[in-house]
Amino acid sequence: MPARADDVPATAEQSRTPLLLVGTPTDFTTTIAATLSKAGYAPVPAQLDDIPASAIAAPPPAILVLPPVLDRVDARIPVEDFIDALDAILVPAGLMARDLVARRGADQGTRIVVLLDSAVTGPAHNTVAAAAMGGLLGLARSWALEFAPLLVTVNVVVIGFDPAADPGAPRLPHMLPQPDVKAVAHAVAFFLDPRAASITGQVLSVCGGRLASGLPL
Amino acid sequence: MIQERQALNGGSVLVTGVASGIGRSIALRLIADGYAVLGLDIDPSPPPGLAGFEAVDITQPAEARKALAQLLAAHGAVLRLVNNVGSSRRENVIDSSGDTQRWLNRLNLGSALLCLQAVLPGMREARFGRVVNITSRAAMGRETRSAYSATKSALASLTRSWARDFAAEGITVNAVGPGTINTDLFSRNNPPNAPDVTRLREGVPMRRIGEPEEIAQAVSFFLDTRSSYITGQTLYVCGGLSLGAVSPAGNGPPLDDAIAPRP
Ligand SMILES: NC(=O)c1ccc[n+]([C@@H]2O[C@H](COP(=O)([O-])OP(=O)(O)OC[C@H]3O[C@@H](n4cnc5c(N)ncnc54)[C@H](O)[C@@H]3O)[C@@H](O)[C@H]2O)c1
Repeated sequence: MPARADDVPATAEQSRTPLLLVGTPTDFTTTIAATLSKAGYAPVPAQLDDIPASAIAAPPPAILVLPPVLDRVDARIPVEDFIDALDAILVPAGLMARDLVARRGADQGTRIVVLLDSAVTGPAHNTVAAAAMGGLLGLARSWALEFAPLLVTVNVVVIGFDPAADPGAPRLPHMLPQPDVKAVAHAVAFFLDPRAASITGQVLSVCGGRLASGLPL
Repeated sequence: MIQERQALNGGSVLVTGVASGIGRSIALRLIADGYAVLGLDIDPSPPPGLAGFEAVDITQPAEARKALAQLLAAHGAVLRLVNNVGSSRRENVIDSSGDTQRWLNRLNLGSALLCLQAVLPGMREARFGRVVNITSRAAMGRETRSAYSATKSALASLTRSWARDFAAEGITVNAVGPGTINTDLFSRNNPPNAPDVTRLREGVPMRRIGEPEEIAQAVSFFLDTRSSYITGQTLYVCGGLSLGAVSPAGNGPPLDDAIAPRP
């Protein structure tokens, strides 16, 4: 049976692959980082709007963009606030791609994974998050095409369940048990793996069937 | 029933970005369909036959709100909305400064929310509404156009979210996703021999660029009172481009040639 990311023994610090974790950490993403750490990555945290100069000078081979943490806000939000919220996410995301990838040039083999939450599917009463996650999805897919000549891959993992939900709560018959955070880390590790060098522009939902039978994104 | 009354009346429909390109074609089609078409554009040269028009820069929310209020005050509730206004700029990621993203967040996304908020109270009262967002095939990714693709993918996501928000009130929200369409926007941004443009041109199974009237056809369908059980959907009008612009060989020759006996 193939090893799960969390089963792989820790490796010596010097042989770890640097992994830039971009975004605001939560308990959930901190657990993902810890799981990836066990799988041989050395996570280095960074804020989307404050990428350290050291990372720009020597960009890491693996980048995980964390989902922005957003309040649930519906379509009554003042347009000015809506635009500010999108500017605050999509503008620095584009600049991050420029500074860490585009300006670095060819033959990098960098792996980028963009982690989104299920707001990308367009749930009700969630205008800002739907737009922000949808925007990041469009960026990721476009980067995949634009950075392919640089041998950079860009893929998306969707957290297709509510991490705050009680994992033991009754579920509908068509669903697998609620995935745990390690299942998400495993999907991220799959795309970060050098053996995934030919996989780009893809979207993988870790949802235990919750997003199955819905429209493809 | 309100829905039947709407079908008889035609009623009014607001179309943004109405002065040229796809918006102009949509307006002309909807006038021909019997609607009273209200328009917004920064360019004060709307097509003939509009029932109302305001010239405004829609990226300025305060001014745009005023223009919308004037249209509604003069023409009453608007139960159909086409969020067409939008633009794009060819830009490689390496050259970006964030300005294109900021501009398009206002033009392609802020405008849609602004217009939705203006017409929503009337739609909710009537328990009837039709909203059509013009997205793009680029929502599925486009090199040299990442900021644009982000706004269109965001609008696709909003289409699904707003569809769920208002479905129970008889308000449908759908999207039309144009492929490569013969407008100023397209010719401005697509130098004929650029590799990405070649990829798209050769990736269109129909092997031709689309016409704005072909987008208007899909918009008219979604606005129809009888399209009452369709919501949250995107209809790509793209000559088949959204099937995936793979290698040109992926688009076969016409079947007669393909099955002709080999010499
Ligand atoms: N043409 C294509 O190939 C294509 C493909 C996919 C999607 N689209 C989408 O279709 C829609 C229409 O595109 P088009 O090709 O007709 O573009 P266009 O540039 O030909 O027309 C856009 C219209 O919007 C108006 N406009 C621009 N900025 C404005 C502002 N700040 N305030 C008010 N009005 C403003 C312009 O004056 C113009 O009349 C856009 O949303 C575009 O993204 C077009």
